[in-house]
Amino acid sequence: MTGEALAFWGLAVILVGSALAVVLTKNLFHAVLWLALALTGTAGVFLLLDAEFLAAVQLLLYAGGIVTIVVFAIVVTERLVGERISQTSRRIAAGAIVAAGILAAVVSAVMERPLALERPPMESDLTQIIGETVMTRFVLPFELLAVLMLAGLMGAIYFARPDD
Amino acid sequence: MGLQAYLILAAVVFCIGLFGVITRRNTIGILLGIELMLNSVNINLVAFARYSGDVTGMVFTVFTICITVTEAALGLAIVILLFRVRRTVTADHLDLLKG
Amino acid sequence: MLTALAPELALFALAVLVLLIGSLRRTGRGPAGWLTLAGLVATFALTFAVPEGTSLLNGSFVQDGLSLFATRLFLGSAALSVLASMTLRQAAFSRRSAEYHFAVIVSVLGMSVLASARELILLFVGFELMSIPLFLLTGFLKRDAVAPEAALKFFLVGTASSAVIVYGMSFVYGVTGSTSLAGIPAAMAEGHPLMMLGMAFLLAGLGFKIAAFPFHMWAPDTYQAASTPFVAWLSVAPKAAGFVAIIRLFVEGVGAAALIWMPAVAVLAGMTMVTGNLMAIPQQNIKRLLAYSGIAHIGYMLVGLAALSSSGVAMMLFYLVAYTFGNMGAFLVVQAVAQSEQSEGIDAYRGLAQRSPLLALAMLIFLLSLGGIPFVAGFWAKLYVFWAAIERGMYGLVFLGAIVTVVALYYYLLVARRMYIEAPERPEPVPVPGLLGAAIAVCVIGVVGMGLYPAPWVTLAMRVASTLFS
Repeated sequence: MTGEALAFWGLAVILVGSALAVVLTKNLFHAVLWLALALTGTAGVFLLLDAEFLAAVQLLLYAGGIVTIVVFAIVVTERLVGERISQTSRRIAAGAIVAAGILAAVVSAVMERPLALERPPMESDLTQIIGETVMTRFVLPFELLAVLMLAGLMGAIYFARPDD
Repeated sequence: MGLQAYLILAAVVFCIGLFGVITRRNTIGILLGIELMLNSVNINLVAFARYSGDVTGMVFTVFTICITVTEAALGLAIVILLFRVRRTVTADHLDLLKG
Repeated sequence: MLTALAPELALFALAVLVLLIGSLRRTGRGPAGWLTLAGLVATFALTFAVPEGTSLLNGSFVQDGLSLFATRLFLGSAALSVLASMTLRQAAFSRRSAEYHFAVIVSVLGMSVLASARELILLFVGFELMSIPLFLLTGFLKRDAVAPEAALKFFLVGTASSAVIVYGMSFVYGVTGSTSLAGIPAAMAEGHPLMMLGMAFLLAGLGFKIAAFPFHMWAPDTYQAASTPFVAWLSVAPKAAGFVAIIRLFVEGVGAAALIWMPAVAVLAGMTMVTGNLMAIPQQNIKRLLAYSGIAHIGYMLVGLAALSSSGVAMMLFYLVAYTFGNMGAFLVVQAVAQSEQSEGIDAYRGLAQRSPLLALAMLIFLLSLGGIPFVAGFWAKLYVFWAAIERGMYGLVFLGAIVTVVALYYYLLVARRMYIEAPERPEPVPVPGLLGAAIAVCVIGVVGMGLYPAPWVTLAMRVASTLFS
């Protein structure tokens, strides 16, 4: 087994294991920590795919940002209710059937035709290329992204603000 | 490792997230499932980008990550608001709207 | 070169302006509403100055017949909704007027970008730019018992469906090797299994957005809890945006390869028509009734889409306009009655014809249009989509549509019977605020005008649709 394959399987086990823990554990707080592990594992997958910049973004924004917000939300709501929030599951059979069906469809579609095994060479400094592409070909969605984040932020403040 | 391995890994994570969305009673738990689904989309995009030598998929990932974080912030603000008004985060208790 | 972006730039400037004015003024309703209304109308006029067929950024952003048609629909319906919402009495609407109108404008901006996007990243950003303000607007009455619940349900469904959509986009990108929609027709013709899978995910995710069966359950809850003038708009504009996205992804330039989706869309159309109409019958809340009937109308529009022909898409666009006038009008009458009676039950309409004959007549016209009675807009709309389906030999679907149309007439006429046959509980007329009355009048003119003289609208829709099939 090559080093890359070894790393891939290691990360795959971490990723799938922690993802399962996110949706199965009863303790909500633990679920968030498992999510943090899954998101960190994804950053590892990005590293395997030579996307260092995205791995960094993933860690900072996703694993850092989202986990902080969720923990914050849990703490606030637990303080409000004054008890520990646990969570249970329902419709497990339906969920398992739908998820397994979709997984089978995707896997069979992926396996049906052979896909690329070799990676074509890419520019050495992907970070620079990503930056240039965002600011040229994708400058319009990039600017709109700013408006989107402003609207999201305003919505969050509007809802979370305790006054009025 | 070929592209297939990455796509299947992403599909497994996507379906686990979907399972969480369908089965979780707690609304924060549902949100975590959605995060897993969106996360697997990023694996797909980066893998496709790397194996076709085209940077666009990675640019797409930057956009999905930013949008996801915005959505998460907004969603959790709604959860907190609902909690203030109704004292529950359980989806089954959200039954004032029925019929 | 920036003329193609003129409407979007105008909307952006308007959003910033409304936000600034809102932060300056601390008391009263302020000018945000009027400013928004004027800005939307001005942008509507501005769209006529944009030359058709211009594009930006290697064709990822285009202003063609479809995008301008859709943008005008979004702007016009938003202007009507803003006009009507100025009569809302709750304190939040005056104190947080800037936030409310900012969200409306940003959402319209997202829709208009979406309508012009011929590239996946821009399409996705447009979708989210449209959706995120809608979550805010749904939960706007945040002290209300049901608004936060509706906002959360809408949010969870909206983000989960976005995840499905973007998962589908990732496969489309992977197979076509680019995020440009221009690569879709060739990939669809080639029929790679991953491409089919990606498109199936896209269809399911977009099905959620337009509230097609079996992805429709969020609509009645959301409609019931949110403020009615906003719901009037929510029930038409985002649906129209969803249909535009479907046209861009599945129809434009695809030609015969798109026919593989015909059975799937036809089944979706049939199930949506049946579910919407059957679920509407037992409803006692008028907003829920209109929500389910709205689901049924999505089904009728899907019939036009399922034909996957130039005339089918054209008739679907015609249907969208007719539905916009009829449905918005009905919701605006609901607003007038609900504000006076403090009730959204259909029993609040008892004897409305004796109390406020004009309001009852307006409601009757809207209901007849939604039901598809001759000489109002909805009749032609239904006739045309069924005709397009018959041209494709989909007799079963048309037969089914005709049956459920009769079912629909039954529950529309239940409301009409309360208005015209039953005796009123109170004699005094229902007060209609002037601005709300103006918005209702515009919808009446639209419905009756399209009903008596549909030709120009048909010509317009045919012209827009024909460019998609060349």
